Amino acid sequence: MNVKKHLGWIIAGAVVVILLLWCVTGYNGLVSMDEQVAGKWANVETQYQRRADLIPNLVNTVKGYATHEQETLEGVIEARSKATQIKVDASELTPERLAQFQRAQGELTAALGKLLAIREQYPDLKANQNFLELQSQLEGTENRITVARKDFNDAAKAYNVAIRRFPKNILAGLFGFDKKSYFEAESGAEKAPEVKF
Amino acid sequence: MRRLTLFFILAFAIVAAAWAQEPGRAYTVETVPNVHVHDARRYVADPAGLMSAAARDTIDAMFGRLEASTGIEVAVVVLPSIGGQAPFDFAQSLFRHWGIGKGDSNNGLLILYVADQRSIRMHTGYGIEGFLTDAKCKRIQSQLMVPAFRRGDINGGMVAGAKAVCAVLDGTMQPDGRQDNGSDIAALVMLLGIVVFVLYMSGVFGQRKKRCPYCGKRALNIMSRDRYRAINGHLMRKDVYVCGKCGRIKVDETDEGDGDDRGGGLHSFLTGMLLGSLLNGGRGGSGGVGGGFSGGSFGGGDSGGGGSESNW
Repeated sequence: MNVKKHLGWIIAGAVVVILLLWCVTGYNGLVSMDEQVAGKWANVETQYQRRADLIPNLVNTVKGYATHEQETLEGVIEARSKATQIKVDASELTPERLAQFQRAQGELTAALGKLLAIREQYPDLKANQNFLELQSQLEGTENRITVARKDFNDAAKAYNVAIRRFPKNILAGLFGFDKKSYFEAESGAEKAPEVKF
Repeated sequence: MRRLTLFFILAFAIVAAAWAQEPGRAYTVETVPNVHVHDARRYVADPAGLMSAAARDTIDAMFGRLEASTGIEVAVVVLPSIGGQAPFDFAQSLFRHWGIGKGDSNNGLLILYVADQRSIRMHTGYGIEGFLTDAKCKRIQSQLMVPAFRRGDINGGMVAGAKAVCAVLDGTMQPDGRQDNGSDIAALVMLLGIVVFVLYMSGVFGQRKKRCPYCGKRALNIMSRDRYRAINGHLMRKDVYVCGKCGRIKVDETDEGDGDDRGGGLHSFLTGMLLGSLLNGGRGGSGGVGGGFSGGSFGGGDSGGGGSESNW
């Protein structure tokens, strides 16, 4: 019979088709995970940008009350300009770039913490409605940053697990899906400033 | 022996009751009862009864109106304790666990009161943080809620806060109407049910004729269909066909079992499907507008951690 003669070829063909299908679905799955990580990263950057946008207003408000705090104010402005210069594209999330980003933002966080600490010496500033609202916005933004970072970390970890698991690691190696780095646990300097009332 | 068992049961009951009523019991995200799911008209989850029933009803009514006019979903959670967790973390995970707000517009708001931490937190979904900004949340808290809480007036503080939130959010958006996922699916199932039913009634499924055993052509037309009860009590169906090609008669006898379901399998299945989808669709509709006595649901909204928190 013809079928028997070609059975070997038919099986080989079926195996090839199944392999191809697996490749396509596996590749598409990795692409969508990659996109997800990129989306979460964009959100992280948006939230940091939101914080940076609040700072000029905050500095101006504080300036009106705290005349002897030039150094602290300049420290914040400097840290802000440094932090906003560092933009990391989602496709180049290497450990070095991310560490650089995290360091710059951490310095800004620390400078902001110092700025908020001086309010204790200026009762008028502490009671200023504008200052209070800026402070609550800053607090909300720090919270949003925390959430965005955690979401990004979760997505990056899921992606990293997917590209390292057998057999998808073969696909990942073939098409150049690289490991993404994620935020390390916060050290003391990068901890969000405690904004309490 | 029996006395001993009785004693143990009694002891267990007392311990369990004490544990359940202990005022400082810490709630977790999983153990907070989601009252809105059980009853669409309820928005305040107050498992320990810290608020008065009147205040709860007032807030329920306000947020019911708000959801009807804007589609914004609010959950108020009043707890004696959440253990050592920060209210922010608790609010964020509860927000996502319940999915407060509609899935596509993320218009949810969670108001969390934690008694032992003396903390009030408003947690906004992505979709409303532009209207109910962090600063506005803060202002509502510090001007209306915290002063009342300081006096020990939880009811007054919560009602005043809810009123202020409604004033800010009223008119900010339009309800999505039937964009609720549940009623969408119900409508689809209903439509499908009607289409299948109409097709079935018009005989589309019966179009393919049976093969004539004599001439081999697919030309058997049904002449009659009778049911009768056989001696063994089984219901029998007798179908008589005539072949359109060769004109010969074919008789089919089918045992339909001893049940008295005269409708037949496919027919009752389809009728059930249609009825089911009608009922389903109806219920989805009333749930969608938030009325009736049926349970509601949150639409799977997400929060990015917006909002504000105050302590007293």
